[in-house]
Amino acid sequence: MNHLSFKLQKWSLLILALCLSLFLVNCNNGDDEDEVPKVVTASDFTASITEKLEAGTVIGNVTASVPQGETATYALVSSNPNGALALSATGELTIGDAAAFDFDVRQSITGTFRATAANISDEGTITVNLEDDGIVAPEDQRQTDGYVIVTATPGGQSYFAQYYAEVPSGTLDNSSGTDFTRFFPRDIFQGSIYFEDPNESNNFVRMSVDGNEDFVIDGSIPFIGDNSFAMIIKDETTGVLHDRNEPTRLTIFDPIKMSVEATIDMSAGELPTDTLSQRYQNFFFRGNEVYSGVRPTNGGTYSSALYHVADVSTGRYLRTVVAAEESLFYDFLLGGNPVADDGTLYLPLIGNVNVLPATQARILRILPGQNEVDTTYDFRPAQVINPANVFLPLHNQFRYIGDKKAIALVASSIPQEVVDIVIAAGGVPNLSPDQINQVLQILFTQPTANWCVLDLEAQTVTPIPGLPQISYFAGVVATLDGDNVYLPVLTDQVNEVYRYSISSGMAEKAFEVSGGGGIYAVYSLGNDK
Amino acid sequence: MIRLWNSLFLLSAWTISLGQSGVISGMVTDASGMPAIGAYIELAKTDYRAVTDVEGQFVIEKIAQGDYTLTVSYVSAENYTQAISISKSNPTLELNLQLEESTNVLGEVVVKAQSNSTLQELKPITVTSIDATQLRTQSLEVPELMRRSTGLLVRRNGGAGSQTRISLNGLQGGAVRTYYDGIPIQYYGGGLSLDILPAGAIERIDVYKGVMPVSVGTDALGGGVNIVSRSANENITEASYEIGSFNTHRILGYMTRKFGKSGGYYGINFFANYADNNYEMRNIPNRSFEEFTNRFGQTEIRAVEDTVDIERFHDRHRSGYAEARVGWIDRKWADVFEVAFAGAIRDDQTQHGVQVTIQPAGEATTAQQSLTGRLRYRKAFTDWLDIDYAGIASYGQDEITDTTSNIYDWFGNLLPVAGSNQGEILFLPSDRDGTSKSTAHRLNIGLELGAGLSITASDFFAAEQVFGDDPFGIQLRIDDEFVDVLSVPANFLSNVAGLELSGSWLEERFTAVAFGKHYYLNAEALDINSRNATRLPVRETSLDEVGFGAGVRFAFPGELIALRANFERATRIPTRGELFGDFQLIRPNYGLRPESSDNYNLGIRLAKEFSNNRNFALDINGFLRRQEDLIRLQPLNNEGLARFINEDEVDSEGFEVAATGEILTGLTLRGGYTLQAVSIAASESAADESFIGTQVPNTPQSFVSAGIRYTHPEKVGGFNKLTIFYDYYTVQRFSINYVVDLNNANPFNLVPSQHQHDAGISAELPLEGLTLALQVDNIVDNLLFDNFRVPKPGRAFRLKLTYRNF
Repeated sequence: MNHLSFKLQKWSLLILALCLSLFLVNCNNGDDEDEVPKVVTASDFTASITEKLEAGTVIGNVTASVPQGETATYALVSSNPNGALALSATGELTIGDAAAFDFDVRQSITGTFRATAANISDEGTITVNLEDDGIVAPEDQRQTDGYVIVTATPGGQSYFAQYYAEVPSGTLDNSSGTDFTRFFPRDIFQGSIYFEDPNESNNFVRMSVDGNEDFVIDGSIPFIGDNSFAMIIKDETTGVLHDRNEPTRLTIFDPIKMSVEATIDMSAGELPTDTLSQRYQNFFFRGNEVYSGVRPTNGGTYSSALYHVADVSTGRYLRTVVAAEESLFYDFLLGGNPVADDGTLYLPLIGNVNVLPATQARILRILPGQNEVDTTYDFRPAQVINPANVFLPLHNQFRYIGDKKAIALVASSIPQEVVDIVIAAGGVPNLSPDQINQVLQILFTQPTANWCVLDLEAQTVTPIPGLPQISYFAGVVATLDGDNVYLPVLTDQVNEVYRYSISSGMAEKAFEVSGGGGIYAVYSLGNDK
Repeated sequence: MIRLWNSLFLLSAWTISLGQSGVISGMVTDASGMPAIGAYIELAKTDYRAVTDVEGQFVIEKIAQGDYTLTVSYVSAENYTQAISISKSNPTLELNLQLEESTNVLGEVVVKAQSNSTLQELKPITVTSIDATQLRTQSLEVPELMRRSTGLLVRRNGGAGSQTRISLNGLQGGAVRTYYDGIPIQYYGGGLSLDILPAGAIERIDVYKGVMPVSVGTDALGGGVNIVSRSANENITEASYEIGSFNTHRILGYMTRKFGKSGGYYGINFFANYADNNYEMRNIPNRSFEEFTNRFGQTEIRAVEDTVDIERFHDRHRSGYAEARVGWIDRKWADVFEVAFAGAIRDDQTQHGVQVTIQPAGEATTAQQSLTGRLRYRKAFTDWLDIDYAGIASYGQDEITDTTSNIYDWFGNLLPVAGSNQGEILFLPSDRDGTSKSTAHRLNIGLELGAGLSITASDFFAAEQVFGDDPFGIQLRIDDEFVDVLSVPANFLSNVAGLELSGSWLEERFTAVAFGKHYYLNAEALDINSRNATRLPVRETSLDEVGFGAGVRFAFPGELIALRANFERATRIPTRGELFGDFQLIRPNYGLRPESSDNYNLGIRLAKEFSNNRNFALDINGFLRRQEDLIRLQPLNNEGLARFINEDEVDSEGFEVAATGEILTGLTLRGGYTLQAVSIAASESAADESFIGTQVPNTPQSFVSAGIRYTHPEKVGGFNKLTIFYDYYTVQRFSINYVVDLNNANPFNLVPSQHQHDAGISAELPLEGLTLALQVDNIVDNLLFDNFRVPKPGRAFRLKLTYRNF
């Protein structure tokens, strides 16, 4: 009982105090009831600031309306992310955790605060919008220009790739480049290199160079079977590649998102009768039409060279173009889509030394508005430059440089050792298998090929003056860079790169390589088609 | 108690060039009648001393006349003492001693038990020996034993039964030969390999560094590893069963018996291994499929990739080996005569190729079976002529099955898309049956010339034929008919002859050896490169090379410090596979030249024995090597085709430090450190020049092997004997391709530094003959890799029960 009476007494005192205070408030406000707010009202706070400012930087002041004569005190109730904001008792809002103020991570920071005056409180919201400072972290930056120079150990066990803002002059040591076990670019688009993953996965990847000049993978397309090493990009939304696991389907991919967007059923494409399986070896575009060179899945050649043509805008197979009724390899292309301004399409076929006598390399064409090969045109550069070259009548590295001209590495001369063997045997038909192997061994290793300018209209071949000969099998790559073509020259004695100017028709030595192996290629990241 | 079979036997024949000095020779056997290998014989308070060889034989020469006390000490035997006298009338003694089993510290002395090592240390050629006898009750395989040697790097692809690669002083692949009982292991028909041998089946492993003695060497560039099987001339019954992580089971049975009084013995032994190898691998790229609507409005599926932690699911290993042998020792017609027959069988699932990729294999398998017959004959016809012959004939079959079109993900699920190509591991499918028939013979003839000089003549002859069929393999079109290239037998014949002159003076403190070798190879196989052939284009290749070498060893009086130096111009002839390829993806190169190498080795050894069997030994060896015409595989294109070529010149230099010792009774420490620079030395092209001085890929610059082992000599809690041990191995990071500076290496190509900690305990149970051993590998569950970044198992447990009766 005593306990209950004490509680009642406490409640009575509390109610009495409340009445008294209400009475006093009413007495104070009694003279001017409308001018003086009777409550505290916190104002919602909104501000915009640049990202990445230091901790302690003042964002602004939160405010609240309070009874006259009173001063509000402020306290932070919440902050998202936690700790991002700091609020002083006077209402000064500052940056708490500076790391939270990153535009790339979030575009606004929110919170709530409480204003208190005369024992009355109210809560308001805080919204701080972040503004992009326009500064991108080096690892988020992407180079759109510059060069990736690649050197390789003999035998191709290691490839060293290094970024250079400008093509160096003098002597270049590339040995501090990133080492890859392979490096075979298939296309360059908007500053990125597209190729099979140089780090050995089976994927096609998009590789870029970041602000630290490091290589980063910006997207990856997994394959089911092996990739065909071949791909080409048409524009920002469309590229074509081939997954060998789907021999009769072409894959359309998005080169920016690096995602498969569709496949095209190519099973209606014609094949030679000796065919078991197919894969696509190279691609080029004429408008929306993609020309796809066909070869057997596991390498080798068909008895004829043919292209399957599809339309990437409709996703339909169109037709088969038989280029030659002979066994020929297609050239791998790297940029330089071989279509002239007038629409003439050139088909570079690099011959075949796997059969004897070797099948001569040739360039064929399809005239504007036509869908069949022009039978009046058959340009055989190696034959033009040396009609006696029956062993290695080949060219490769065909690069269309505009104005119906191209660059190519053309096998041009026959070493005296080979001539001696043939004379000793009593002519080519009398060569024994051992002698044939001997001849091929010599041709494989000795420098017998020239970098040449091909006039596709006049069907002439002009060795570029001043460049040493290299082996046809030197395994180097010619690359385009606006008006320039970079031509590697690699022999047992020479390890250097020449720069050929398309407009002047002259070449000069760009640099020599002293470290990182033999020169492989100079890739220009800015060389979009 | 000592039994003297034939004491003080006078030998009158041995009088050549001895002048006034005497000779004591003879044989020491242990309590079971086995040759006591490595027994230490000494004339007390003199420098006259010797160590018994593998037959238990010993000789002490040039003993001045006088009275001596001869002492014999041997592991697990009571010391033996006898007074002897050398006089003008009795200058020669032959002693045949049988020692009595020690009653107190049976089998405790680890370092002394490396008996053959002690013996070999007296020779000018660098050899270390790993003793298996003390480790039999532990659950170890031979590759794990090998890691205890300095300079020897053992790398495995994965778990039990996985491929083992040995690298010795920076040399790898075919440059390091592996022998089993002195015959290259490839002549055992394929069923026997390092991967499957349990430590319990062998006696010891001899590791020859830099220079190979004529009596062992076939062709090898920088050394070899000889695995010596257990002798059968004892009465032993042994059986063990082991169970381990990843569903691993091993059994071993071993029984040998002596019969009659004629020195006869017989034995049977077998072992079998089973493992699922389903250990976890982390961060593995995996592929799955998703449906999507294509830009033309149709529904298709496409592959997507993520990174997962998985358990290997197709890596089962099964193998078995059984052997029976019968032999006689110490007969008039033979000192050793032994015939052995063995059969081996194994089959393996294949989880992936050389590297782990997004596409695991779920069906590919390999299998091998072999039968072998072996003959060993040794006889000392006189005191100066010794003949030692070993021969083998084998028949082997192997199968490779890789034909499926199914595709699996890393969880073992069959994916909804079939492969257009058959074959999971290779670019081409394979359903290959191969047969090999081979024989190899080695004959060593030893001649004692007197004056400390001896000559060893050696010849090693081997012939091998392989053939088979593969319906998916390469077909050669001959006269308009297709011929399976495997169906035409390939023949391979090689002969290595050697002559060695060696001398020993200053009570064996100064020894010297000089030798020459002749290598011959003749091989023929179908030329798969031939075109337009009208008859079988069989290609023949012959090679002829010579090599030579020399070495000296000098020990200061008391044998506390010994110095050793040797040199060899070594040659390795290409293997069958290097010359002719595999008739599939590796193409032939008929013009391949032998590899050659100039090896220089220099070593110093400090060894000291203390009371209570305590001891300490420190070895420091340095090597220099110039290798020419290095044979390596060169990719021919992007589609898996390759061939072997001669290319680089490589310089190697390095040193290794090894210390072993029983510092307190029962407490043994060992440690080894190897530092090696194996770098490109010269080039023939401008492109190569920039790599001069670069470390050869896949070759770590340093590695460490260390261990501590304690055996409690008395009963502990009901156990008769308790042994605990801890082993540590570390390998410095290295790159799998050429890189000038490891700090700039692409992480995808860099194999990081690795640290492995193993520990275990073994206890002799109160039941006689039973030992129980528990071992934990990779205790701290570190990430470990083989040389192509294939993850190895994490923490793993093994429990082994051994029964021994002898």
